[in-house]
Amino acid sequence: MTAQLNDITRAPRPRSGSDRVQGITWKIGGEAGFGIMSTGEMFARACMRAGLNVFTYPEYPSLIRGGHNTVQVTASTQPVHAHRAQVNILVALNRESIGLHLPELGPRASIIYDATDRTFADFKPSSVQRRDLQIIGLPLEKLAKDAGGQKLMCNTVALGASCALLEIPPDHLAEVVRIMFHEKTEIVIALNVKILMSGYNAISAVQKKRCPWDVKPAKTIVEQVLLTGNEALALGAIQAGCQFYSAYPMTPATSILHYLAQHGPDYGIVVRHAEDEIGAINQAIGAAYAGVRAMTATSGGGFSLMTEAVGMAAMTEVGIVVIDAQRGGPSTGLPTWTEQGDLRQVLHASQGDFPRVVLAPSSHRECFTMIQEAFNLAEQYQTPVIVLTDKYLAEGQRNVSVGELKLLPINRGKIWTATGGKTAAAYLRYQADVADGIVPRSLPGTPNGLFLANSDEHDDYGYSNEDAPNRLAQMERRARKVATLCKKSIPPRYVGPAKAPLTVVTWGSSASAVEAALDILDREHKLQANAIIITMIAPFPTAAVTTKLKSTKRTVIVEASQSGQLAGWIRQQTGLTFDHAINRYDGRPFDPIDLANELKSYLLTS
Amino acid sequence: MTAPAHNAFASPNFPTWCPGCGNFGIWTALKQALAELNIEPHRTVIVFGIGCSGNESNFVKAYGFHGLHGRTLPVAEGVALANSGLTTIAIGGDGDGYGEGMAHFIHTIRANPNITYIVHDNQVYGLTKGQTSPTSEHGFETPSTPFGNPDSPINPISLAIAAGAGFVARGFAGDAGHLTGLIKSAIQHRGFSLVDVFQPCVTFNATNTFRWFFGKVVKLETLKHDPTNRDTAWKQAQNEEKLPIGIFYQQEKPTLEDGFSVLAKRPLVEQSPEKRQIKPLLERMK
Repeated sequence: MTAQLNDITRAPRPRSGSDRVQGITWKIGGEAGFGIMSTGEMFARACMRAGLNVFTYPEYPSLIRGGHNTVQVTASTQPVHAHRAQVNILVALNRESIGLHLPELGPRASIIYDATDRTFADFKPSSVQRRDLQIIGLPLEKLAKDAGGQKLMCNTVALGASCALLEIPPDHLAEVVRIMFHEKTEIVIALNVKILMSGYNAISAVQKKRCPWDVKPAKTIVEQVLLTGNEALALGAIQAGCQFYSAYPMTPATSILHYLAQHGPDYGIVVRHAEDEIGAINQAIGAAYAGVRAMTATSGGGFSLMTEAVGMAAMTEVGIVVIDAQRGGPSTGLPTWTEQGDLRQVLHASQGDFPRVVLAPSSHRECFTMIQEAFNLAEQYQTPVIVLTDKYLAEGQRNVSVGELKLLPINRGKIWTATGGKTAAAYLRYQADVADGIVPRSLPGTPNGLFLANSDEHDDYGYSNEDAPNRLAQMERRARKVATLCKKSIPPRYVGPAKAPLTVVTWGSSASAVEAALDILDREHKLQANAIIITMIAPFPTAAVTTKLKSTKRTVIVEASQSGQLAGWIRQQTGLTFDHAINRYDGRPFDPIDLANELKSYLLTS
Repeated sequence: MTAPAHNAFASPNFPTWCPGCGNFGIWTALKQALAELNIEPHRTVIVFGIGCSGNESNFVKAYGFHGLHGRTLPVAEGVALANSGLTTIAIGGDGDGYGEGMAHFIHTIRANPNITYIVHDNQVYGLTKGQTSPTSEHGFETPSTPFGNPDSPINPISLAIAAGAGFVARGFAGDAGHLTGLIKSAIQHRGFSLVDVFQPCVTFNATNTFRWFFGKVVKLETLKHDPTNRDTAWKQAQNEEKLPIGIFYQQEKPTLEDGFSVLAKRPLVEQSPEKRQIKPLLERMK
């Protein structure tokens, strides 16, 4: 196959060895419905299999067809905590992609575009007002068809070409096709490999040379998996022994439902697409009351509907796990974009005072472990456990080495077992005088374990009781569960040197950009900073955070909410305030380079 | 085999309902039905909503769940899916189940889990003191509709038949013996069963009184009604001159539980959540 070269005359000279960088960001853009997402995933997998670390970030509007979709993959020999906004290789499946993403292109970036696509009919590479770019027009459609495919497979050709530019060995590509198309026939797999290779071979040695990005694959490749935050949660839930999952689709939580619906039955999980979020959480509570590990997931709007039941779970002391994958609010807001604006909602959801746990994993790896923790806490403390993520974490993919996926033992908490015979001690499900506040739960079906799970205030058995002394005894017992829980609170994750002139506090997916920004500050600006990443929001690890914050020099809080929801919560819990706040609420995740620059300018000017 | 005594389901609390309340008849019939079916209290889960009917949770001894207004059915469905070995009963009222919880009513019928749903239907809100309910008659004057109810009542029987319910019955709290039989049949039916019960509210409903009902109800058995005939079931449900009680329609169909291969061998709660091997899933993420 001969490459159809359109224009390489204006491409820059290759960089000398010394200024080659360790990582690249690749981006593909095109119309929704043209396989953009799967192409991005395949590129990320190919990079990962070649020994690189990757982070994948998809952007798409709340549409099925016609909108502009992109996937961005940052790949590097170094750990990749977050994607980079600056793009080094752009695959433009339509002309719109060039116009939209030209401003994002870094110096000496390459563009691969489809020279046969009608939108490029009158496109002249010389019209692009950037002299440093390598612009490669390939007849993607023709190549796809010549290899036996169809127009829709243009993306596959472009994928092959991209990998060739980076000199990723073709073996990895073939393996990726096998994994992605594992349910397809050998003929389909072979066809896709052939189409990929047609793109791979279309890139000339000169073009490779002019692409200055060097991502030398690792010599020894550690066993890695590429997964989204949602997949990490679903996988963690399976590992944790989740037996019942009911949910109603809502972006960006939906892929948890898809994953569990597909794989759950193999692991003994009943997965139910409920009529609405109210039904979903009430079903989960019913199942958990009956003795199985139960979970539901939604986004902010769905969580609003679940609110009343969250309080009921706490009052009846039925432990359930609820995931809120946040998106931009209020109301329908920004359905497919990221934000951390639900923190206050979940902290205060439902009327009255009651124990609740709020966990916020800050990485894919933590999604996997914290969801296991969530199930254990829910059953041990018999109360709702809310796990907060957001679109960036939920739908972004990252590689995790298999060895880092920590398996936690299952702890089902105190369970009442009948001592047998009619003379068994009277069992009291809500016995008020229990020291740690936690009474063994009886599972329906157990002889001598009857009780009433009651959303009304109740007595030791569970019967409705509005007497003041009983009310106090039950409120105080439930509150003692929090005190018990506080003894086992999860301390924040600390990143960077113990002492530094600047300390960044953050949570959830914003930690990705913060960690990457700290690397940049250290490596490129020779500035020292460290970070406190809060992963248990409630009960808040007050002592640990207070001690840590008091030993800092200057503090900056980074979070994706307009009002600074975490800053307010930390102030409420510790009495401490921050010197500076960086808040983002345009639906876009923090970019590590921008963030590093902001932190630097704060450090140098204040 | 000796049946557990009727009072096996009696709690230490005597009902707080108004003297003469229709709920007493339903309460008696429920306990009697369970006893006659030899179902033990610890093998029974009863999920209640909020309202005068929900307060029954305090007057029955079994595994009870007194949840939220309108949300009995999803909780009961969760229980049934988690432990298909137990008898699961949901109890609500007309405001609870046909107002706040109407969506769950239709969707639970579609799902067809193996639960029995008993609705205390008194055409009025009792616990909040006498407002109009989804089954109140048009023009019904209450504190929330002082110039007459502008809405038309829903007909839960027609609604259930239209939605595809496999067991649709109506009872009358003034005939606890007949109602006991209906509840027994409903519990024995495999799948979702509805027993809507006319339950006069002696305090807030001066229209639909015991006397009024006694003059209107007629047993379907006496009308030679064939409960396997959906067309005649529909016609009887539309009957407003007389108010038929009994089984309108019964037809067994696949249950929700049948749809989950996981539940084929034994109840979910009896399956261990431990020692799962996620390695095959990891292989597909490489």
